Amino acid sequence: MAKTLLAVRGLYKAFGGIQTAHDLNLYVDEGELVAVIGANGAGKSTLFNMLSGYLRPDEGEVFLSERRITGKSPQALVKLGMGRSFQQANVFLRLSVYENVQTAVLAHLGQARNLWRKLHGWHEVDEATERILQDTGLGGMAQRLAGELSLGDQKRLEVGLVLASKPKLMLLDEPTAGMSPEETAQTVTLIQQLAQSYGMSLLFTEHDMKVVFGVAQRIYVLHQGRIIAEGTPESIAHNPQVQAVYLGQEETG
Amino acid sequence: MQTLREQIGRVPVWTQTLIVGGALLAFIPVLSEFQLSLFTEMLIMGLFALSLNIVLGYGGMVSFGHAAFYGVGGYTLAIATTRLGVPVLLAMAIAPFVSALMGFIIGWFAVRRANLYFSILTLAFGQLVYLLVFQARDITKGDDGIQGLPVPDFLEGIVPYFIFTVGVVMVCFVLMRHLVQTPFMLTLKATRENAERAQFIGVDVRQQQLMAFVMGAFFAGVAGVLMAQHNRFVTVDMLFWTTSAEPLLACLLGGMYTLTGPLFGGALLMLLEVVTLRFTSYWSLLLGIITIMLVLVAPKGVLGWLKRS
Repeated sequence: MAKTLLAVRGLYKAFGGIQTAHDLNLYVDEGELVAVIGANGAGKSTLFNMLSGYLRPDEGEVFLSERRITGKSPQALVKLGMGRSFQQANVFLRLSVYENVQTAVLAHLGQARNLWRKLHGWHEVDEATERILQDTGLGGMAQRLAGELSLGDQKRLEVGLVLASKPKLMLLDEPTAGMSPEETAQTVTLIQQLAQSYGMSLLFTEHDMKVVFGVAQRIYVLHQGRIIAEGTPESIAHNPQVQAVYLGQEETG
Repeated sequence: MQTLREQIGRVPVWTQTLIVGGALLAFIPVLSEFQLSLFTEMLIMGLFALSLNIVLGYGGMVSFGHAAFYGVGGYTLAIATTRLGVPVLLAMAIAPFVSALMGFIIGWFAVRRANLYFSILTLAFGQLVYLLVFQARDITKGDDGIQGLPVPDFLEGIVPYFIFTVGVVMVCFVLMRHLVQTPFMLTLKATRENAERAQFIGVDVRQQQLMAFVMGAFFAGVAGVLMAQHNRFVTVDMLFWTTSAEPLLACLLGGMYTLTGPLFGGALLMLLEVVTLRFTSYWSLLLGIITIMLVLVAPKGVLGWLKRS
């Protein structure tokens, strides 16, 4: 049996009387690709924000590699092996693509406050940066400003930033949101490749059901802050309750 | 343009700086004492603007309290030499560190808030320092200021002091030029661009910003020391919030996303001020017009504007 990487136990969160997370329990095994689906407002972002240290849960605990990480700051979580991307591509717009990744590499090496060494000719950093640029297919645009890239490329760059910290678990919030079908297909392939070659587990949310069923090995369905179903893509697709509250909604809406 | 810049970039920075410094010194025989004194003040204002640019341009933090560190530098020198009998050179060397310490204290609070709240905090702390110095008459002589700062023999006279200023500003510039090429500055720029993302790649944003703030305070302290020693007196005006606006405008004028822009901006601002005041007392009016023009026509400063066109 695979080892559990992420374990979430009894998470609760309420905003002004509205429960956006109600007794959430879930896990991700090492190397596993897991999706969380649910309509808008189902509580996916709240869940992600609690896992990545952005929000503190009212109750409950989160464990990463059996270490309790509830309430730790985002920068502390990054060091423990958790990386995340955002729904809106979140990169350093007025830095070049190269500098974007370089910054993330430096942070991972604990060199963010180094005042003495010059960046130029620092092989260890350059190599790591170039490897990530190649792995994410951004090698050709290294010198361009991140703000000049297409949305799809910006999202790939963001994945690159996350990779730099060599995470054990990568949280991806709607990795293909706003992408063309072509970009979506490329991104899906890329994510699968990266998860394998970097040995990462993946927990992601996604609106595009093709992506979800194409990538995920296991799926959680969130509805009004509760997990209403969990299982393999097949069992989820045939779950009547899920069809009623979620998949049916998708077809009509 | 790019290739020329690359060619210039291949010349070691020390050589570049020495050439510029040498060129400045070559002016000495042809300039009057008034002009040399003006040049000295231009360089000091340039350094003051450079110091703010670490916080403003690279850090993206709009500080309205930078005069506090400039003034504390000047006052530390004045109090240490006239009241405590500390040797001048030692006092000059210590004063920037006192400014940096003050920067650490104010910055520790200020970086806890972003954007407008950061600006207001720096303004409030800056004015607090001003009021403290203003009120502590026993030590600071209040609004009379402290006159008659002692001068070591080798700095006696306009020419030696000009040479000294050129040297100090050059050293500071080379240090900053080095900083710009380090991981620290790249990461600082990243926090400017997107503090959230910086946090999520594992950067402690507040620490990064605090370090920048302390560095800015240190170099502002150097500028304050130079100006105090040049004038041989300090007044509370050095700490007033309008003094904080000067390097801010200089960064706007020169271009805050460049390393050298603020140096030119500061020098140009000082030149304009002195020249204008010879003909008319409406300097503030002209300053207002310059500010409006800058924001409307060249928000990236004159250097940024030239680069674009």
